Amino acid sequence: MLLRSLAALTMLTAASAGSAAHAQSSGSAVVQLTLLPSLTVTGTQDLEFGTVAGFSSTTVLARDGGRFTIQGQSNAPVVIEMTQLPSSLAPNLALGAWTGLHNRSPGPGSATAFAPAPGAALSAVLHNNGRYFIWLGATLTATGAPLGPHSAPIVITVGYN
Amino acid sequence: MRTAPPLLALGCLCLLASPASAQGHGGRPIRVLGVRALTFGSLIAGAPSSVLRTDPARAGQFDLMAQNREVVLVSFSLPSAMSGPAGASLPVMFSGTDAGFSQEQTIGDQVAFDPRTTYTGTMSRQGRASIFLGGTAMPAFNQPPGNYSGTVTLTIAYP
Repeated sequence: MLLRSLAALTMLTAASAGSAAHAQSSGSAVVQLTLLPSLTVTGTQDLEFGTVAGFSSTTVLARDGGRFTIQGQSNAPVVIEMTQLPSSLAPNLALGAWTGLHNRSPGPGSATAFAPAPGAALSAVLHNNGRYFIWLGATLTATGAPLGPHSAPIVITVGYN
Repeated sequence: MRTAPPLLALGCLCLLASPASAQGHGGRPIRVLGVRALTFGSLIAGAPSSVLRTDPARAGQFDLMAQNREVVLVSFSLPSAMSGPAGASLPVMFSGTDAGFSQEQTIGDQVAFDPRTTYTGTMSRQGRASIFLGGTAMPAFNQPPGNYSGTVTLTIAYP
């Protein structure tokens, strides 16, 4: 009799616990994000005009010109801005007629041409290895420029789009 | 033999107490369903990003079911950080108006509340409600890139 009563008590207690569980409920949801790797832009080749005469005009094609390498998230859309394209290297040493190529591959052969202009932006999608390449060419016109080496920075800015 | 009757009597009290509790709320189970993740999308290191609880695509959503018009207590278990690659953690913060309670289950009709404290809400005439959740993710400047995630748990109970 005692054993039978104990068994009944156990069953009834379990029933009570099951009912109490209905008075409260929990559910979960995920919090998620993808942190993109930092974008880097590296000037990997200078736009080099070599030695020029005091009165001359020299053009360097984009494919032979300055090269920038961009590294970021694979397949990410980006905006590439021509932040600074110098208009001269010195007095009477004008720089202009900019030309550009861009490509997901490191070679300029299959690259697409574009017309760089100060402040202009270019939309692109990074390669699945996260890389992208820009080439810039220009024409240097000397009209009695001072002797000596001359240089000026080219700046491009890249951001995720 | 004399000990049996008291034990049996105690068992009967448990049986009576249990249905009484269920009848007080009509016997309907109370349920929470995580419907949509709180999604921050793609971020870059050093740039905090917030998701509003009114964002229809990125706010987290829970659907609730309980007794019609019944008052319920709502409480969150919120992560302080999300877990990422190689054990990296990315802080996530919830402010005083990052949660919203909607009797009508529409994101445009919410009553804001603080997800860090217990909220008392009233179910709709159909015994339904939804809760929406926003927040702010704060990646450090040197935060390792990759996928990060955490779990938000919502508990509702009758008072």
